[in-house]
Amino acid sequence: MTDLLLIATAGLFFALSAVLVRAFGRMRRP
Amino acid sequence: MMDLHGWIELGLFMAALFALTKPVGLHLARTLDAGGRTILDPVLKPMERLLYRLLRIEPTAEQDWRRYAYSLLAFSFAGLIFTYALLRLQHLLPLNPQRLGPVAPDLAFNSAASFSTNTNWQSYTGESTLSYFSQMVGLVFQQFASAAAGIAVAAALVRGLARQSVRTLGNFWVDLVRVTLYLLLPLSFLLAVFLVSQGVVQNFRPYTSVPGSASANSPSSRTPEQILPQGPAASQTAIKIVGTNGGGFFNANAAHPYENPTPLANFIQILAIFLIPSGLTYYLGRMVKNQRHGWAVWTAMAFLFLAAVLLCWRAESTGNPRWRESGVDAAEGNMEGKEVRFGVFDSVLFATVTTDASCGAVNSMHDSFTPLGGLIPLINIQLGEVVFGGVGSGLYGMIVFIVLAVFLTGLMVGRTPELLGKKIDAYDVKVSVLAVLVIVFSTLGFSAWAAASSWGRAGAANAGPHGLSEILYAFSSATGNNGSAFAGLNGNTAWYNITLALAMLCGRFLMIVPVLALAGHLALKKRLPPSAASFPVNGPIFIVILVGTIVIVGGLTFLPGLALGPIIEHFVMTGTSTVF
Repeated sequence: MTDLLLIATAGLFFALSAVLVRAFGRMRRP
Repeated sequence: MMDLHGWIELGLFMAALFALTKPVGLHLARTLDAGGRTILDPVLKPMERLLYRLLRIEPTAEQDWRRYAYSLLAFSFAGLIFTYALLRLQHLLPLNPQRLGPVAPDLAFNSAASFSTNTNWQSYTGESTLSYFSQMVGLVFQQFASAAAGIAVAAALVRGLARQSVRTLGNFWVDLVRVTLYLLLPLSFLLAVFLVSQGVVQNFRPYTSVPGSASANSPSSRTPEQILPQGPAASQTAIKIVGTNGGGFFNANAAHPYENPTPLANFIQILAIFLIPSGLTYYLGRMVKNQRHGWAVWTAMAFLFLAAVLLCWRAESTGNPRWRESGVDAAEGNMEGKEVRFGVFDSVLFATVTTDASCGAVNSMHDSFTPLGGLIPLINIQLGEVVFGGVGSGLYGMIVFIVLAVFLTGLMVGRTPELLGKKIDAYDVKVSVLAVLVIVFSTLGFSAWAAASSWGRAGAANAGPHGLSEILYAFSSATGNNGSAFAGLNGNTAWYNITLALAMLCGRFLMIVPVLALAGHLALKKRLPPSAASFPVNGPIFIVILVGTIVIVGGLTFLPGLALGPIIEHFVMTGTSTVF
């Protein structure tokens, strides 16, 4: 159970990073 | 005493680093060009082609910055899970002559995050926790992969500056394969063979038991039995240094005689830490077709490096004035926590280099430095490790500072900021500032949480300002992906293992994403020819402004924390009788 929780934490972090990539891609550029 | 031996060694170090910068930079340029030819092609080209076929990589297909970032994130996540699983299952895997059990979940998570982010913070003790298989496959794999990924990101950013009106930045998988094959493997191999020649162990033997013997001073008593650890240390030590990883095979790291046996081994290891980061400045100049810009960046780095070495050396050779009051002979300076065979200068040089770079290997205990001596490694990390820096991460961190320096200069003189013919606009500045702020929020946020919580305070061995320094150092080191420690802090608790792991992930990937966004945006722009309105980025004014930007941004951000830690501790040591 602890293993799954820790792996899920890492997964969540990398998913957040991927969302950030998308957000930077959509940010308004001059 | 700042003795002649130290001055000569420092001079030799700078001369050797300067001399090696161009050859390494040229090799980097060939390695980071997908079609580049190197002298290693006859041996390694077939292996490169085989890897592309096995991994289904089309080497000529380039990626835009988003695909490049997704590839890096997917690779790093898979690597983290792989290492975590391996550490948890090491008792079922081969090459475990000491029959070590599985690594605890929080410690395995911390170690997997640590090595996949190029940090190499070690909450574990190598010789009593990890099997040879875990060290060689779980950790050394990450030491190669994370170093190659860092260099790949730097190359993508340099391409963003060098190219014009394109969307693509190269192919992450090609960069990863080529950097590993043509740069890291050969350099590590050469260094490992050299280290073996100096006495670093490289074997799969069980630990050696040495029976006790009669004491020379008192024949009736016997010295206790000693266990001498063994293992494949040379191969791990080589990539730990070349890849600015820092994760030692033994707990004492480069202070262990089996990991750093001779003064020559010590000197070459220190030089090898800066080798690729220094070469990358030449690569930058070559790629943007402005070699003087590359050397200007090198000079700014060298200035900051020398200032740090001299300040730290002075503090450590002066030592603690209270020793003299206690009758302790302090002629050699502060020798607490230092190897007698290395002395003050070699410890100071190693400490400065390892924290200028994001290496984190240590040959002395930074926690035992004088307050101002210990402040130098700490502030080196907090300035973003851009003084030569980690492999790749040093250069991309420095380019972020260059963008900010150019922007601030543009504001001061009322001109549109321009870098190497590219107009710097709001998007570039926003993503650069975000890359800097991630480091600040993670370092100070986690440190504040630790200082305010009982979990955090429980780990620090000291109360008062030194305890705060230990906490601040830990989260600076984790966020900066350095990995060295003020070892008075016990980081092997569930709370520290998990928060430090999160700090490492934030410091690595939440910085890389804006850096790649910057690279992608720069690549879209045209490079305008230099005009009278262009700000020259290769002269002394640029060097002064760049150094000023780094020091002021770092100083303003971290000075309050440092004032409460090492600075107040210094005044306590010299001025008052109150000891915390």
